[in-house]
Amino acid sequence: MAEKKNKDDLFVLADNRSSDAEKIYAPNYSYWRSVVRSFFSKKTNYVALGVLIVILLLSFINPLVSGYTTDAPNINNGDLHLLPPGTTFDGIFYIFGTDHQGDSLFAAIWAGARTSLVLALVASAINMSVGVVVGAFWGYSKAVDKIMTEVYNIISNVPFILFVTVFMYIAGSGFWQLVAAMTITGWIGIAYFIRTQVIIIRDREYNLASRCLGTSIPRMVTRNILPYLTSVIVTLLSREIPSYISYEVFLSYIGVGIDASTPSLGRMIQMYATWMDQKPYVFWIPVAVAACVTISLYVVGQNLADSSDPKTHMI
Amino acid sequence: MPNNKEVVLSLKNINIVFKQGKKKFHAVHDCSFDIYKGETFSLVGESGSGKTTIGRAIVRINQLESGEIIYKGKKISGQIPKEEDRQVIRNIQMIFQDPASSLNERATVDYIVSEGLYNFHLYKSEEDRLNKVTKAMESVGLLPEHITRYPHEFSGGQRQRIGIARSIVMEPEFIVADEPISALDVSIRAQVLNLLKQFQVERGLTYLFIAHDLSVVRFISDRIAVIHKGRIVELAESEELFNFPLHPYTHSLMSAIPIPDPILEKKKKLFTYDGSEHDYSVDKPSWVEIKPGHFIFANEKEKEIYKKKIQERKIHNEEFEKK
Amino acid sequence: MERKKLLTIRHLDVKFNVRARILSAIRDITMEIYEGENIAIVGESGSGKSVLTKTFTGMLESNGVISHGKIIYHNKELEDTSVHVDPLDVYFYKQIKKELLEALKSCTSEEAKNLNTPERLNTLAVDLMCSIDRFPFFKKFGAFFKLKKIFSGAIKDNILLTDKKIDRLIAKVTFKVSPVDKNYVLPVKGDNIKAVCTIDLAKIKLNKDWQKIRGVRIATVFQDPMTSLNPIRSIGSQITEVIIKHRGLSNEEAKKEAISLMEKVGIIDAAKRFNEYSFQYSGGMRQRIVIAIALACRPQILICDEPTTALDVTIQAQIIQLIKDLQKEFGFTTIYITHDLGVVASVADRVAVIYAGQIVEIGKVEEIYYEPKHPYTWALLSSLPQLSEKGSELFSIKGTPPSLYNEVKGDAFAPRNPYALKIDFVEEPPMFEVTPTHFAKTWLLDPRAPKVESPKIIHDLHIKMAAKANLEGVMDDAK
Repeated sequence: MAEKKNKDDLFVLADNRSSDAEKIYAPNYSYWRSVVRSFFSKKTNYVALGVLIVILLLSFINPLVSGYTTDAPNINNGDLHLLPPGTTFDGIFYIFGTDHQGDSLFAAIWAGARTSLVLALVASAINMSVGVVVGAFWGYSKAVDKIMTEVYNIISNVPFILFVTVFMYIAGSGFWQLVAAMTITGWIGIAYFIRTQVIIIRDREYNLASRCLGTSIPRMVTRNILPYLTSVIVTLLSREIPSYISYEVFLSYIGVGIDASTPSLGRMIQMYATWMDQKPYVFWIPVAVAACVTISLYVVGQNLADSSDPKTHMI
Repeated sequence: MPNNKEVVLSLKNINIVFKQGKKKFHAVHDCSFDIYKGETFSLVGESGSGKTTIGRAIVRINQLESGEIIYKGKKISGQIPKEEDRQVIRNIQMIFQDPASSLNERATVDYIVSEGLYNFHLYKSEEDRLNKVTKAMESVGLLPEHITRYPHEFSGGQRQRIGIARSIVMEPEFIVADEPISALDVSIRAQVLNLLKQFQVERGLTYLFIAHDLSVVRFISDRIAVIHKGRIVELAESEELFNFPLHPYTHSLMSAIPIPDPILEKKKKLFTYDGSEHDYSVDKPSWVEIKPGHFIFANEKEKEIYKKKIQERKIHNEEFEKK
Repeated sequence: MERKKLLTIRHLDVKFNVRARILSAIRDITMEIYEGENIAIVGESGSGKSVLTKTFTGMLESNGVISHGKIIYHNKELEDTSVHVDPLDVYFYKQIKKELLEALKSCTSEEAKNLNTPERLNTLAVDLMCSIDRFPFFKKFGAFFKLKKIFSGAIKDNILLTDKKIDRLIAKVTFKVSPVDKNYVLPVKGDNIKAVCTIDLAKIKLNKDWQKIRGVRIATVFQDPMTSLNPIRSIGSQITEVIIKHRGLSNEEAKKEAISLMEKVGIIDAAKRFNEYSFQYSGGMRQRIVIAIALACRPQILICDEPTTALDVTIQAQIIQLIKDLQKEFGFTTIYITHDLGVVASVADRVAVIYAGQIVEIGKVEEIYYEPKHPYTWALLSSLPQLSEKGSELFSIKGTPPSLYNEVKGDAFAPRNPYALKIDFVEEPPMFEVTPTHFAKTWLLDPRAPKVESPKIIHDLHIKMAAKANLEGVMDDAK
């Protein structure tokens, strides 16, 4: 009975608390925190990222430790040649065995991987920077669009792999020649892709609003357009880096890649191909490593691209 | 309705054509009207009628094919010197329709509201700028603590208010409001409209209100222009237009508005308009003032019919008064 | 005038999993939908009106789940079904019966033992067998284990297995199917039993079950006609596809039917336009086609989810008129979702007002417009521009709807309600009856509440509207 009386007291008009209605109670949104959270919500990413980190560490640290060179110092020591994986010779444990020149396959592979990774990173960095900047202005300014579209139509008709191969024949093999070959025209595909994205968002209302407020074109590009492209850029990177590794392996395999004095996975695979029947491990282990590098880069890149798309943060 | 009939914006014989390669689309045909200082002038039409195109031409986003736009005596269409372009941006601002896409999703509210201030360096110090932003936010009913948040954390009505804050902080004299409430919920629309009205009273603003919802337009406008397929077909004071619509398109537009009353809605008759009632092959139409302040697009034959209608109504009203 | 019930919704709860937080989109909705009526669901964005109708067709997003409640669909055709007894079913029956009888031994309560007789348990085992039968092969095992566990557990816990209790327990896994012939007690391989099932739309999980309902008996017309149609197939084929699949007509018959439907929805030159594609149609015409597709299978219920919001006002009027005419002709029930009170006045017989996932007021359209009882309905009506005097402020509700991530204490509308009572912040109000057809969920209708009048602005709504709407020639009886 007392409880009912208490309730009855509540049947009076309450004072209005309307400003409470404007408050936002959710925690502040932070873009990068959401990216990280989204990335790690998928269990496979832990594995892929782990594999990638291991590969990176091995590629950059092992060559320093192992002192591998392409001079083939053990070429005359027949006992060291072609030892199968897991053998211990002379107190040294060869986890991947040795190749036909007596070098530790493990050391050779990581030295080659390092070259591939450095090449891929350098070429990507150049192509992406040039491509994104050019592409952003290309998409935004109608004047630039007229010129660049003509340029693009000419250049893109030459197959990339053909261009690189011919260039390398002329310039000769070598690390920096290969970088040049891949970056002279490599940026244009990226620029075109960015240009298309920019055209899509150029006429959205928030960009019109910025124009109404008198925002200059450079500021529009940096504050309005480029932040939208973060996800697109990460996606591109995730494809570009592994593709350069594949290019290097292929070019070195056909003999126009890196010169003989620099360790290279591609050349190794080419050399070891002749041993494929007798000593299969010598061929397949480098191939497997090359594949692992490419795949782990690709998986991490793709998932990072998905995570950096703000639309996925809503779910 | 303000008493001083000072013309603040004038559109003279505007034509706007969109070209895509060889294809041409004639979006706006020969439109002319004046807007007086301190009034709310509404431009009403359906999608594709050209009303948004005209609004964007005033803020210099769209180019004119021919004709002129004059603001406070100075031409603001076509090529103008940079200094005058800046003046246009300072004095004429725009509020956009879609709260979901009119704000930069990847920028904080602080940057969004301050964007105009940054562009023209309209502040003395960082503190002054922050002060202006905070005042603008409070004047639209949002809390100062919101400026560090991102647009997607807000509701539609709140985002639209951020858009208004962005325009207001520039202290303009003239605002083009492009369907500012169409994308909002019914109960939120009132908030935004009241806000706009409040600013008009406090700061002496003039509005060009672009809309397709006639019931709202009747409430807030002083004068209304009806636009159909790029041509203005009728222009009058709002009560005059609602009580005596002459052009058949205006008629069909009004009969189409659903009335929020079940009994009236069930009795309502629907008018359709497809343009076939006009025969403009020989007798060419023009823009005439059929009554003081009431303009219409008609040819000679139609003018006579409208004049007769006006006479009939005048007599009918006089008889009604007598009773 | 006893109208037939089509849908009975009881205590429905729908929750969404968003970024590891739970959003309660629908909170305890109870209502009925009748045959041949036009009911409008009015609410603002985020109120849950679209979510509610998506549950009727199983179109909730993947992160949404019906966490409680039932939606019973009364349809004689679907309710009548048949069960074909195969060896696996017989196996399940025997296993369940064995397990139930085992459990009976551990039952200690006399009362329970008297109710849960071996005969009754046998009937239960037969019902369970029929209910499992519909699942595909692998899923049968899952259902079998779950039901076995639930019921043997219930018996051991001395729960009285009344009919109602049995229904509720079966509903945890699937909907109940039981033989028409109550004397059918021994399933034998090869039997074909006539059975009856209660269709609970909240429990349907199999796609093959939804295919009998979605688009066929309950169809939806969505807001955006641009994305509702397939751009790479001809318009005509999209209509005939539905007709052929669900009504079994031949190609020629389906085409004739499709063309007549197109003409009915107002497409001129339908025979010629049959082979055209959606980009050749305007927005209004596309929406007409969407309606034609929705009606191709003569559904019982047509859900219109803001079908005219994306259209111009003159086209909107035509589409609304079209739906009204078709409804008169075919007699289906329309559930109209909108936030526009003008559209509601035009189409609805009954109105349900929804706020923050709950129905706050429901009644006949005249009752809602002329005698509303809930402060939110008052607020919606007050903000109509036709009621405001020029130069004065438009009525607006302060603030924004509550976040449904957090649990709502008391009445969800209380923080924005100028007529809130102290108790609104403490306890949620129940539904009070105003008339047998009019209910409102507000403490203001409690006898203990102070007498509060609705705002002056919405008094004499009809008179005010009539005064404003004196358009020449629009009103048949103007002056």
